[in-house]
Amino acid sequence: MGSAWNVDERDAVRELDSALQGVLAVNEADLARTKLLIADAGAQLHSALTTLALATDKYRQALALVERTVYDPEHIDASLAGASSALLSDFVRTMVRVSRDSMATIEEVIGLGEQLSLLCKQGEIIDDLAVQTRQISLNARIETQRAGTAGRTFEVVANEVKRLANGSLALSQRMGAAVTACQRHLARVRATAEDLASNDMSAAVHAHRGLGAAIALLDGVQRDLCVELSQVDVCIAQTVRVLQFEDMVTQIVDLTIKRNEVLTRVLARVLALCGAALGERSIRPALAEVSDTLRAAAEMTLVQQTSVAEGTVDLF
Amino acid sequence: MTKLILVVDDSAMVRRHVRLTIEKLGHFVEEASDGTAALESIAKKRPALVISDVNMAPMDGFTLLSKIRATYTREVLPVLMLTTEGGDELKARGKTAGANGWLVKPFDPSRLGDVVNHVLSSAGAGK
Repeated sequence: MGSAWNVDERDAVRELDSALQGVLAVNEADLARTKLLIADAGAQLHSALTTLALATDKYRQALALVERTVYDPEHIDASLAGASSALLSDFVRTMVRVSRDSMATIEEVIGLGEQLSLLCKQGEIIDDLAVQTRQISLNARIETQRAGTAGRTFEVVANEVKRLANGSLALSQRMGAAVTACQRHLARVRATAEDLASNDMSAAVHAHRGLGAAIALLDGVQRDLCVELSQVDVCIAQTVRVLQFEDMVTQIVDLTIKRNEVLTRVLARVLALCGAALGERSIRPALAEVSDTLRAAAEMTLVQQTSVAEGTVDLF
Repeated sequence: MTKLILVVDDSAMVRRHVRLTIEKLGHFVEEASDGTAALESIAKKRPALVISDVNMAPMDGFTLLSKIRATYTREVLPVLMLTTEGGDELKARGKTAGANGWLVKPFDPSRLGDVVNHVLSSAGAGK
């Protein structure tokens, strides 16, 4: 059974506890920030996809309207048959342009989907970190039991680490589920939009049989469609702006990994010191060194920007 | 006049976004994922402008910038730094190292286009 620690050593343990809490707090804040960035990107992408879905729906309605109008017996009369070829040609050109715009939008969405996969990988890294932190916590708890009453401080720390790991893991899992759902949605939108786009030309050619009334009706739909597509453009631009922070997310995760490595080394050292304390050797200087190491780990802050606010331009 | 612009960033998404922005201006784009690949591209393709990230591995943006400036002046080959780092100290370091400009992400596409055109015209690059 080990001997009781003196006042000096108890102070050193309190300092160590404080330093450890500092590292854990920074890690927790960084992971939370990373998740916020990823969640922000996901929300923007969701918004873009929703708008795209609305635009696609309007597109579908427009094509249906063409069919209904063209085949409606009420419209097949001499006045409609006299619709000018210029208007029809304009209609065809418009439809082709819309088709081209749709394909460009689809390309953008495909690119965003690829990026979403990269963000998923970041989520997996965060999961690994949480599992790793939990393992550190478990080891600390085991050794706390060995240290007896002298290890109460470590128990507090170990519980804190465990709380962080559990919270981090749950958040990562929720995020992963949301991202997966988003990817499924993306695949459906892509398939639908591609299908529509492939039918554009046939619809346009088909419409050559169409009549002036169809063109007039489509003018309104066309205007609505242009508005919708411009909204899609805006949403995608916002999404891409957020996704520019992929490298910042990577930096934060890398820093967290480094801090966890330091934590692992420090905990091993602390446990060795506990063993030395049981042998009644003074551990004050060694504990102070460990505290300094932890504080240095907490100060590892390479990433300065903390929000996705508007960027700046400086020309030299 | 159409120019070749080299975009250096370890994020494929950012490279893609910059490419789309610049191609809309009528320029060609070459991509590199880090400083080492960028130097090879510069030697082979001789771009008119380099747009580079800062935090990349194995060769970061500052190292790339210093290597470029060892051969090319600011007027001959302009370099714009495009990064999430917005600290004054790093900007000053970029200026001292020979960068022509410092752009903090997230960038606005139209603003990036204006900056690119401005830098290309004022430097007379690629001639």
